[in-house]
Amino acid sequence: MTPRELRYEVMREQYQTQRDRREQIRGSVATPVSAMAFTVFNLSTLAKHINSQSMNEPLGLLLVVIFIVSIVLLLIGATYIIMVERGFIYVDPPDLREMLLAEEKFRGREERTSDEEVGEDLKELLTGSFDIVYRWYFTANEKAARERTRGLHLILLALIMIVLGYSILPFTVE
Amino acid sequence: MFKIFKRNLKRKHIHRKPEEVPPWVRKRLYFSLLHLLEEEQHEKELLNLPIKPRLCVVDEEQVVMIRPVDRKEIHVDDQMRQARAEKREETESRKESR
Repeated sequence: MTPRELRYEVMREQYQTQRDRREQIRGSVATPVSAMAFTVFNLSTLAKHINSQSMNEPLGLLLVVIFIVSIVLLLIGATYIIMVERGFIYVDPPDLREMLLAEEKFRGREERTSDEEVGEDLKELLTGSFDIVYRWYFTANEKAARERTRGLHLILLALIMIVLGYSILPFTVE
Repeated sequence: MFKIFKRNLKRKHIHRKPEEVPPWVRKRLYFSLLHLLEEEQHEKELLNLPIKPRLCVVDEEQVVMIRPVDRKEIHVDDQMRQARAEKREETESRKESR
């Protein structure tokens, strides 16, 4: 394998890996979404134990605070999950028209340029393209993965708060 | 109101061009394009290529794509001029802070 071929193969592989990773990240959004649905269900159960009298005693007030904090955490977490798919502009390798134009330019340089030589030049052009696309996809994937994880953490934190709420529930005055 | 429904429910068979999207979307696209131009120049120098690799800029949310062939038309767009000026300012302020 020539160094040119090696560069091309490596960069294409890198690009392909990032594309696959993007699908994996998109698919993994299902986990925080399920956790969110479970948290909402638990919040509704906790809400049944809160009323206007809860504010009059310290543990009842604590329960209200826990309830509100859980909702805030859940909403921020949900925002992160929404942001996973939003706001990123991607770049893709050259389209067919651009490839044909590039071929024309490579042929125009030296009229005797053979198909093999033009093919090699195009391969090098694609190597450069894959390198750029790989780095853009990498950035987008990292951003998406980070937002998904932050979202999941916040939703889990909301769930932990609800568990705390349940733990003080037996000591509050109904 | 009806227009909004019509626009969102209309089935599209091909991506939109930058001139068909709102200015705020174009702004984001042009900023990315300017960044991409730098990257392409860098690749050209790195691989010692006779021409720059020219890539497509894609906004999946808005179903819009800037193909390399569309770039000529973009250069005369006011939004692009504005994006270029903002990018220049950004680069200069970064240099100053260093």
